[in-house]
Amino acid sequence: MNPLAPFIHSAATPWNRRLAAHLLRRAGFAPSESEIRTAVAAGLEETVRSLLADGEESDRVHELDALAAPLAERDDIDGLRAWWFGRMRHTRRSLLARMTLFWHNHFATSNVKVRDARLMFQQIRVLEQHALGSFRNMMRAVARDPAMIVWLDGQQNINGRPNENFARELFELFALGVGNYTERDIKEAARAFTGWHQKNRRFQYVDTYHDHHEKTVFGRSGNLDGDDVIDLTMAQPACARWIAVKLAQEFIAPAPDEALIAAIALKLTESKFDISATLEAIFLSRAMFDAANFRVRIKSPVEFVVGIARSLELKAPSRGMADAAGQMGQRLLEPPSVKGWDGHRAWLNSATMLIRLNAAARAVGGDLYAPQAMLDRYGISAANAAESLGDLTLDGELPPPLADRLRESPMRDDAALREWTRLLISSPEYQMA
Amino acid sequence: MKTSRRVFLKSSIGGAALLAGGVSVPGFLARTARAATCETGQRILVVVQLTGGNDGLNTVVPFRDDIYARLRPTLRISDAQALRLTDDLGLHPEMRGLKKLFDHGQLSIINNVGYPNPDRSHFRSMDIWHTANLIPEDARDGWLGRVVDSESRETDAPGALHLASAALPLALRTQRQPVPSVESLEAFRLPDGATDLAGLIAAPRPSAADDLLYVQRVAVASCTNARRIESVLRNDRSDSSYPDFGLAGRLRQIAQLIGAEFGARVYYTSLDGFDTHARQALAHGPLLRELSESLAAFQADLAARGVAEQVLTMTFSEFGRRVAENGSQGTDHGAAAPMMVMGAACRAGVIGGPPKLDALVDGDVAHQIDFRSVYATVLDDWLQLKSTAILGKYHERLAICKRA
Repeated sequence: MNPLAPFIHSAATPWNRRLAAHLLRRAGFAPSESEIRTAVAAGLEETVRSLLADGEESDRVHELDALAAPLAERDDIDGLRAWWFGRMRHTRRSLLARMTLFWHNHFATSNVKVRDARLMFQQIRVLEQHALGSFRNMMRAVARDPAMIVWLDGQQNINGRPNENFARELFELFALGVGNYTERDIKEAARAFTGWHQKNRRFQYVDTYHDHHEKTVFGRSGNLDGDDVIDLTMAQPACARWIAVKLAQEFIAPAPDEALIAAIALKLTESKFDISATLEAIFLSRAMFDAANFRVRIKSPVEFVVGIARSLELKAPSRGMADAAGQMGQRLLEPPSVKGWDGHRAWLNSATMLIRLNAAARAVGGDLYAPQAMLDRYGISAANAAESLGDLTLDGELPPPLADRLRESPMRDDAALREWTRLLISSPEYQMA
Repeated sequence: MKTSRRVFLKSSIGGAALLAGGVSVPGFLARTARAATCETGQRILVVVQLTGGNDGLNTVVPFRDDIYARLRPTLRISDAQALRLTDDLGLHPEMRGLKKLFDHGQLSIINNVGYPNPDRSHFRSMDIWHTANLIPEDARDGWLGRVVDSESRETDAPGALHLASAALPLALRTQRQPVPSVESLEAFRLPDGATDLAGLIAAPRPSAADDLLYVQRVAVASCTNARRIESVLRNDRSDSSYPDFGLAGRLRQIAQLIGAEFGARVYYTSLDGFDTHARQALAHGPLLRELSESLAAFQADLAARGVAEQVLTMTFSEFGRRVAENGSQGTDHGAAAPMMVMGAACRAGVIGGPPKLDALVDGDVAHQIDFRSVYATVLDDWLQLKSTAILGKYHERLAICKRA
């Protein structure tokens, strides 16, 4: 059975809060009560449609966006990182935010080398602009992105003295994976990108630096330029597969099976690498809602921090979120290498887990969190408060020790609800998405 | 009584283990106890980065050298002031603490350390030291990051810890295991009333998949660590023995973590302010005093905790400074400089001898010892790893450590 065949809800597997929360968690961040209710009422198809739609942003995001350019202009990288967290916290376009983050990990560029917040800001905007569009356009834009040109030494790539850094990572990490190209392909591809430079933070093609001689990449010869190499690369079967694996790991399961990878790769190829069309198929698929795929991915620090802030409707300061995620091992704009963050189990060791437990305690222990006011907004009575928080954070699927506690103690006042929330988001289950 | 990991381990061998907080851990998680534990007595490396380019010539002073005296008209340390190490070299007068360690056979000084074609940019030179690669742009990780990633045993403990307010240094950048970077030990304490957390985390789940079990194990290990750190802090009396310096405070916390058997193999912290282009004497003396007294207190504390045999401490800076002082009673970016290695396992002494000030290169001290030789020695002789695997090629080893 095709794993991308549409999921059909039935009496046995009804479209409900659990499924809606799962979808929202994967396609964005841990959802708020209001996001869950909206999705349950709208149904699966409509929810996926609105995740992919070009919706209007919240006022808060417009306010934040007015701050970003000046931060970048001042080369305030910490400020820019905080801005990004603020945006993820408040955006209505959670899938767009999630995919921008996904591409930041895919085309992983670090300010440690770029050393220019303006370039990093431009790159985030490029990633966002193409996040849900055509992967081909994304590749073309990234190859011309000044931060990428600095990061992978494009500026040093000159006719007669080719620098292979970008060509190598293009094949190894951005499009194909090891084993799907030769060293000769890299050497020739590097020549095709000669003269793709940047000047004053803009892409600049320098014709005199470009190698106009014949090159041969993947068996095709000609006076190839960078766009030709991108096209030839994307025509390799390994390319659709490479992106399919990454999408499957991000949205379905950390170790996706062969049938699923093949189905996503086919969808990518058939849609001419249309990311939205591919995501739509994934989100509507049987694989997406296969019981075996619920809460099997270990959340990244950003998912953990932003998810708590969104689902518990915290007044979380952006810089605090950015610092917390950094302490947990994910400092945005500074991925560990061009390979990005390894993710999944690599996120957790006894130190980073402890930092999560402490962050969880801080998040719900003070003024940032107002459990009763939040529950009041949804008309949830004190008698149902604790259970509702369990529904919100763990889809009501409490592990036995938490279920016991819910049965045994009333947990109605403010202090008890805070403590209960802390336990919920400190649970091993909550670390999974 | 301090519950040592060993005692704790023994109790875990039968089906259920007791966490330090008195919580019972079911057998299926008992592997955690083993995994979280580095063997007792594991060797530990502490790195202290001197940020900004420490003036090596006024740290390990060639007090007899006329060229030094002539080129440092206002900044020179005189024969009478220097704390004598050898016939030709002495420590800055503010470094009494380290002088005492030298005399007690616990400090090794490696002089004139650097690399070919020195880069005088703070950033690039620091990157070279951090990656142990003369073309740091080619490196994907730091040399200590490679130490962390080389760990093949399944372990829940972080391989290294960065304790400072700055961002994680490139030296600790890994490709696989994240290295935590915290400003203080507070990050590893659990809030009050969190005692029940470990029990909730550890309780068996009806059908836990592998990944959930992994999270449970790591989470239990982190609670165990927190308890242990809590207990070390509660019983800690080392406060009074440390001077009131920032570096001393950070080293004290590192000693506490080592005492708590936190499990990291590498601890890393830094002292900033060494970029002394103007009126150097006002800044440099106090910095060296902070360094010296903090390190001495740290070494004494390790001894008091009974772990001195386990720990080796190393200092480095991205470069030394120009021999001739500039017109603002400061010094500009230079090249080779001394490194210091401290610990019970050290062979005390000065390796490398006085700098050759009559053979400067571009006005700077030329390196006689490649810094990667120091790294290789620490990797092979101390951490018992294969330096060729971590550094990518063979580097000569130095006689820094006593024979095992």
